Amino acid sequence: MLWTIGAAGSVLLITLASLVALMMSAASSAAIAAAALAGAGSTVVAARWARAAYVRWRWSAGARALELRHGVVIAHHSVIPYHRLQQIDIVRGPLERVLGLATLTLRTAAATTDAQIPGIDAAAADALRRLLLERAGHDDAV
Amino acid sequence: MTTPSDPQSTTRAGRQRTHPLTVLFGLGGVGFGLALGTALEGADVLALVVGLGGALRLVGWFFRTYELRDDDMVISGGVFTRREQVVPYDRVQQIDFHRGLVAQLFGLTELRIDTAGSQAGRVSLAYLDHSVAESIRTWVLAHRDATREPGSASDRGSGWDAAAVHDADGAPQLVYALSPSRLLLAGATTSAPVLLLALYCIGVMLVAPLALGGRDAALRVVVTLWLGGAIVVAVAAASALGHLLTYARLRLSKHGEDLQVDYGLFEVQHLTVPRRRVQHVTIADNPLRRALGIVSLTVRSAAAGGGQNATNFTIVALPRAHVAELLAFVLPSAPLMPFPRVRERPPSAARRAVLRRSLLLAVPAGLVAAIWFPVGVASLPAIGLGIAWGRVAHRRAGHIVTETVAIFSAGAVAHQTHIVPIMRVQSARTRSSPLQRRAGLATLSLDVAGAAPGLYDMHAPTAAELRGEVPLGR
Repeated sequence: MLWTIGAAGSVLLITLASLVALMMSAASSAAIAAAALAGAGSTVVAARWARAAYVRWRWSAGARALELRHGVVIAHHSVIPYHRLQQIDIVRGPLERVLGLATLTLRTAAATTDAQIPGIDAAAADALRRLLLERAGHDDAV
Repeated sequence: MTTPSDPQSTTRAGRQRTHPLTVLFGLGGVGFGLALGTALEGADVLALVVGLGGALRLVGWFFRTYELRDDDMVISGGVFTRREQVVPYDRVQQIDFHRGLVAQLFGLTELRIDTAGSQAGRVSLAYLDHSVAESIRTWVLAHRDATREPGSASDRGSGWDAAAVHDADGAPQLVYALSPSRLLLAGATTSAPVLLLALYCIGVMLVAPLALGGRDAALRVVVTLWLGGAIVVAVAAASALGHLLTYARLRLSKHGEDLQVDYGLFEVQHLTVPRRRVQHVTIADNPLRRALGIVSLTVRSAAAGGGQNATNFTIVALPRAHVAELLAFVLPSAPLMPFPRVRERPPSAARRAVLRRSLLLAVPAGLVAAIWFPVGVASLPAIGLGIAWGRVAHRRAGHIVTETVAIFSAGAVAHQTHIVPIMRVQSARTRSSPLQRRAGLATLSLDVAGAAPGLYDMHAPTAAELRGEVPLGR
């Protein structure tokens, strides 16, 4: 939901800005109409893209590891064992706060670990954080 | 276990300061810059500013202290904002000495101690008397070993060996010392000159047919090829010189549980990496180096340092004969000799490898053919080179996962082999583009601190299986 609004909204903004710019430069009405059409089209595409991204974003907390999968064109799938977790952050941007959502970022000793769970329910994020901390268990030196 | 004797009792009697000469370091540059700026203003202004700077440094030096305790080291500093850093010995990833030219003249050394993490994990003591730095290092390493409990979490599979700790009291055991002539050869055959040479050869194949177009054209081709050759030689020479300055007197030794590397002429470096902290080893070579029988071997620790160079060190030229010994030391739990043969990727990966490289060569060959038609058509057979290149690349690429290590190889011309101790893998990832998915392939990456080695175009089910198993430790 958030992504749909975000993606479609940003495209819409760019379109409106370019429309205003075109009108200011006194271009022909045909050019303005074409630009408006292209803008509307790309807004729809962006919204569908965001919808697909949302549908493909899946995470699951297994017995020993957290698994994440995402990606519309390029499919990503990561496995992060609980005992490797070094740090868990919860970040809530302004739009996320309005919608009651949060982004959970997990860190291991490897900077390249891909472990961000965006757009989950704020209460669920806190519960997940506790679950992960519990499962992270004993200390694991790098 | 007995507590190792203190090498020099003065190094740990309460709080210590760095060497008093430290105050003078950096002032020279300030003074010189100001001298230029204030030449017209008069010497009194200069003296005032330098005096103020000196006083600030003096106060800073006064407050900068370190204390060696039994289990950790406390470093304090700061005049207004006080900072205290505590470094537990058993979290130390790497201990380095850095000695610039001026520091060498005064017998001083900068001591750097790295723990894992970001830049904040680095502690630097600049400058210390060299013998003091040596004794601090000995103290830290000895106490790390004394406080270790065999069988703790970080020991699993690392092959930590109590017997080896006793060797730490002895002298370091030299594994390999790099001779200047071999260093020059290694410098001249780094990837940049070799890549340039390879491009030059392809260029010759593409351009040479144009010489058929008459006397003038032939002359132009000859001049171009001469110029290109001169550039290749110049790059090789510059690279050799750079290597000579940076890596002169490279010595690699084993010391108890640690790997030690010394090198440098003007900026002398002495690095100590505990072998159970090694995250990732890369062995690389190229055709010229293969002919010379040398490889470059990079050992990566999780040291903080920030920046690429700080977290790893590369032994720029190591004879093949020494690789086995070094690997046996760095990865004691992995019997890698004879070196296991990697498993090849599926045939669909071969088709993709050939297609990609042929297309890559088809573009320049097509351009040459179109621009210098009809003579340029003679360069079209260069596309065939792409087919051969793809086949060789496919034959070289592969993986093997044993109980203790994951090994990935790749590279048609420049061979690269990554060795990752499974115990050090933090997480695993696969990614697949739509074209890869259609061919049933995926790219696997294993995340370790500071790197993410992996293999492109693996059999997708195999990649998925390794992604699930390797980070959990098989």
